[in-house]
Amino acid sequence: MKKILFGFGVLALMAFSYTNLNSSREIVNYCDKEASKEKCKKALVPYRYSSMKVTDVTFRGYNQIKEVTIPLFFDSKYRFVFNTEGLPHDIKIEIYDKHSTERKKKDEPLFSAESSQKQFNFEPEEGFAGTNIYVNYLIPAVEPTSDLEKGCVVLMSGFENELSFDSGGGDETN
Amino acid sequence: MKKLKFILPLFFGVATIFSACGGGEEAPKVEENTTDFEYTAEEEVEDEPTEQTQYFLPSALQIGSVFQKSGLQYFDGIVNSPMNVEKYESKNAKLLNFGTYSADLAYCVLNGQNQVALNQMKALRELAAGVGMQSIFNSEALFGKFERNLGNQDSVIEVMVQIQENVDMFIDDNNMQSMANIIFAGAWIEGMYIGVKATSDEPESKITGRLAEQMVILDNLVKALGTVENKTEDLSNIEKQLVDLRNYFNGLEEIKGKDQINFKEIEISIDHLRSIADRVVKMRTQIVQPV
Repeated sequence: MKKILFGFGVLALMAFSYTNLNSSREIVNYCDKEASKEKCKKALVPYRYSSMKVTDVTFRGYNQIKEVTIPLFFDSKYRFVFNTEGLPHDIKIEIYDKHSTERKKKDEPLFSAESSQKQFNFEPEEGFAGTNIYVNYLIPAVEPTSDLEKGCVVLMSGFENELSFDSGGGDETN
Repeated sequence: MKKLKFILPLFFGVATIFSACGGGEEAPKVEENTTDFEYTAEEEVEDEPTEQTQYFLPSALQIGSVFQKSGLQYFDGIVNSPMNVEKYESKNAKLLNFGTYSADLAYCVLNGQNQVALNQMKALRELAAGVGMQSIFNSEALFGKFERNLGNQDSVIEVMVQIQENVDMFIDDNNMQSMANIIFAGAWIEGMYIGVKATSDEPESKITGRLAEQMVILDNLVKALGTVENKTEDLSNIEKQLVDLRNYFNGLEEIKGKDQINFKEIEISIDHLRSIADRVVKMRTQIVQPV
């Protein structure tokens, strides 16, 4: 009976160690949202801030894609600023005028960039006829390490700031 | 021995459950490790949102500026009364009306109605506190700045932008994208409502373009709302009406089957416009005047 109980104890210990190993990878997050946000904001000038989205990225042993759908108003001018300083590995950013489910392999992106650029802008061409753009983050597989590496991409949008000029540059209204 | 018969299956059962729970994060996913990029089902990763498609929705200020650009005038009494703020009891009602007052605030500020805007701002502050977002006003500093700069439109707009930034950061820091989607629903419906109501003697063509342009984001709004979990009945009801409005718009003979729509030149019949307006007014009434 003692042997059985001993064996049982060893098995329990092994099971505990197995589960513990799997959940004990430390998460290392390279994202510094505040710093990235401030840099994006500076790059928006002279456009007026509209929105911001932080896309969290967890690097894994397989490729991933994350897609952000952005509706555009007709006849409006936009600037989109991407900051990728919070990524521990390079990713690719592609912007399309069609959703991933509607695209064909031959469809070229409107814009593409490597995150190694750290920060870049995208401005849809004037007269762009689409109603949405689709930002794709292509996240490559990475070799598994003892840490789970996370990071982020900060995307900020601004629209053309015509308001101040139209109203005579800062009206004194009440 | 009898005890052993009981303990062993129990042990293996427990071990199986443990390995299933703990191993999910790093279990090898050989089948997904392809050379092509594939959309993968996200595993349970700490606080990372699970959806692979995200929606990037514009601010109320931007919606307001699009309306202003199309010549929308200011009309007294259109905006939601700040007195209504006490009627909103559920969290979803508070969030929807946070969106409503945000759109009203943008409408007032962009039209130089800063005194009215101050009252909308007070309503916003109260609702923000009601949903735990009071920090977006930077310990009242932004509210004070807004009050002190009522005579300077640029400064007032800057405060609005700062609050919007704070809302975006708050939502992101707390992983509350659902909240942002609900707020945006309220803002969008209010924007459409203003677009419908502030049109007294404008030519129909102008109104058509303005409303049709806003429909561009309705599809994204519907999809974004679809990701909200545990919807209350009032929110589900609004979602259904938004879906209905989208389907109605997309089914119009003027729209149906067209890949590219020129929103500047689009012509929608007056009956169809009225139907869109009626649907918007009905939704807006349900949001600002909950039963």
